[in-house]
Amino acid sequence: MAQETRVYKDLDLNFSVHPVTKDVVKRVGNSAITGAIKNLILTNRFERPFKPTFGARITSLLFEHVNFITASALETEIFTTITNFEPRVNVVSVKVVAQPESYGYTVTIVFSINNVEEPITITMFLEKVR
Amino acid sequence: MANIDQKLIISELDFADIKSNLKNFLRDQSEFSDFDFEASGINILLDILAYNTHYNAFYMNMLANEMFLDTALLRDSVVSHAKLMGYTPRSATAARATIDLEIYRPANSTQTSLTLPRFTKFQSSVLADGGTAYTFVNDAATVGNYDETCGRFCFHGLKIYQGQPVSYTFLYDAASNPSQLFPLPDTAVDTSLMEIIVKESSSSSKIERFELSTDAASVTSNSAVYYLQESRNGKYSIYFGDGIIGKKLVDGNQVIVTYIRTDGAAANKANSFVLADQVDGFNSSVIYPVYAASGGDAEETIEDIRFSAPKFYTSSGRGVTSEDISTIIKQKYPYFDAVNVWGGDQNDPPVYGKVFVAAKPTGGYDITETEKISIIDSIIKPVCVVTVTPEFVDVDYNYITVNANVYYDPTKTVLGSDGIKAIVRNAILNYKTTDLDAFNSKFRQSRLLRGIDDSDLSINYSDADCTLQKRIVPALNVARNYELNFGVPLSREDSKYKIFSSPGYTQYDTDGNLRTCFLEETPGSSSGIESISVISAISNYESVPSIQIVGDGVGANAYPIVVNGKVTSIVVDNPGVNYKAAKAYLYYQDSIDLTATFNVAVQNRYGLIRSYYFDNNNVKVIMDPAAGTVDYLIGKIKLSQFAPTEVLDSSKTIKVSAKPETNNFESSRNRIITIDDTDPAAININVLSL
Repeated sequence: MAQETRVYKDLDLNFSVHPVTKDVVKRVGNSAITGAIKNLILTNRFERPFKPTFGARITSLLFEHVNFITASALETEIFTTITNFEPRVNVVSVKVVAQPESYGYTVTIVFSINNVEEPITITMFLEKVR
Repeated sequence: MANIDQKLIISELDFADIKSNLKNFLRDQSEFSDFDFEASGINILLDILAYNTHYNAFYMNMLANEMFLDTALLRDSVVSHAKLMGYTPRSATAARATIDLEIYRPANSTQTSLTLPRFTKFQSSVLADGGTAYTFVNDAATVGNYDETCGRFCFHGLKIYQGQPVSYTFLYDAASNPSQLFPLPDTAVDTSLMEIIVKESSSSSKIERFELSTDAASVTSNSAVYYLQESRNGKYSIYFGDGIIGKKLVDGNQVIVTYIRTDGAAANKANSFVLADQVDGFNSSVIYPVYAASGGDAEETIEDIRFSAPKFYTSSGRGVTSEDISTIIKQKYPYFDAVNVWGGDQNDPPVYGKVFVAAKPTGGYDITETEKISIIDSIIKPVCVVTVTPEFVDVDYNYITVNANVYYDPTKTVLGSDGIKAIVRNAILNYKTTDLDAFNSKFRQSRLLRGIDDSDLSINYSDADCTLQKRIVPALNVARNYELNFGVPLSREDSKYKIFSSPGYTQYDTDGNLRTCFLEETPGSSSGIESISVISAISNYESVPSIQIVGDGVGANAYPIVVNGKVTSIVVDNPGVNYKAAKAYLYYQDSIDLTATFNVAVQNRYGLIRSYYFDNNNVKVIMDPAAGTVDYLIGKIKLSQFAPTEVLDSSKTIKVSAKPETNNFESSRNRIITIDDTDPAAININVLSL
């Protein structure tokens, strides 16, 4: 039985201009999903119209004390949010390390796209801006 | 890209539907395939588009609503639509009371008259329901003459209005105010008491009084009229003519606006006043209330405007139909909360060529004779058909007394019986407000009981007996006939609620002793045999037969009239009492003759009212066995030559109560069904726990 293959294509919200076609740059494949996960976890609850439960409460957690307790809460929040709202991936692990000296957290998310065995790792640094 | 030939669905207004349509639209393209995943960037873009569309749709919907009188929600919009129909929503109205004011003249003064200046202040006593004392003022200077007999300056029938007098002066400058529009800074303005005076200039003493324009046809270029409109936020603006329709202001004119800022309905029922200002140095006074404050009301509501404006437009200010006259009175005399107008052909008895008007003031029961004349002469006659004579009739009130039993479950509430009683009383008063207190209203006992049952979860069920009450203020020491028209069939000799009166009144008995008397239904006066008619009888009786009456009552007697051996009729010489049904039999030569048959009519329409007193030994003595009659069918009690010397109550009012035959009845013409919440005996609640 043949596996379903689907090419994910999404709009880049940075609205970068393609150097040749001068059109808006698209995100394709793994890049589209990586971008969607970043969109998801950086969306606050009550931010999307008529979908109050969509998103994560990352922003409010970033304003808590920077320590392992908050890091643990962030891990749970990120894991739950991706599991609930991004059906295209399976989360393998979420690791959040508090960086008190930088007032932020290093986040490492390992996930696999459905029907693709190779896991993908995203690493980002979360800090409060305002 | 998407297939543009596909039919676009654009009728949905909800966010979810709009977004779903956008997704369906994108389903045919492959450029951005992730639109269906909520976290994707394109989905966020769809959210923004759907939100924007939803936002605009909502805005357009609201805009469309506001464009029509029927659907507009904002007061400003409704007022604007009404303005196009020439209708100015009525303002708040000040409660108005009538008093007799008498100011003492000092012994050393020889002054023969005293002028009571405009806006002299009177203070009401603290009202029981609001807990506030209100300021009332008179709206015009009045001269009172010195009365030698009482030693006071008398101002009889003085009208006073609740509110604070306010005056503003505007300087007209054509360059900065070309539309001559002067906004008033207050809400709750009683515009019917507004006075506009235009002074030529600040240094001039020449003034001119401007009147509110009510009829554009009669306004000339030199008419001193002003126009009134409701502006934003319920505030009013006045403006003036353009020199063609109405006199135009000129630069430097001073516009002096004086009005009363009122508290509306809150001051209704104020009935006790003191003079709060000195009048020309005199401040010792006595005030007798004539009419309690009534007619105070808030400005016309949006729903009232929606209802009245088209009717006003239809009548074009002319009183042709009864609806026209009703609308005009409501608009010009805003402190009536109910007005009814009917043609003479619908009157009982019919009076052709007349139109009858009845009106109930807000928060009160009666209007003065002066007001009646004013309404007829200044409001109805100018707009009425010439050949029709308007006539004002007093409102005929049917007061309901409610005797309710309420059964509640104490395990379902923390309230005691007093708390439940208060809730039930509010429910009854709420029923009065919503279903009664209006012309052509309907009393439905089931609705009253439903209101009681629904007033608290702990109330299991309830029942009630409702009686009707008419009130008369009899002339003292003068024998007069009175008619108390309940307008509904009355229960005949009800086992629980017989017709009775209260309080007592005094009258001299035949021995010249002054007695405290009461009225009541005469027992048995309506339950005798009224007549017996012959259906069939043989025609060869040789001697006079006898008639025997058999029924559930006692004492009836009758005899036949025999002519040439034939029974032609039956004479009832004693009607007896307590009959509900009876049969008559003919006895001839000591044996019953069943060939003779009769129809027996039991009295059931008319009864007697008698007066009685208790003598010194507390024995009930009948004073007048036929003080009046009662017609149970049409619900009318007539008292003949009723001449009390005194009524033993400060209101001098005799209340006559009767039980209606049914628990559902209606009012018509000038009759209003109400519950008098100021009467402590009007609502009796018995709370019982289950």
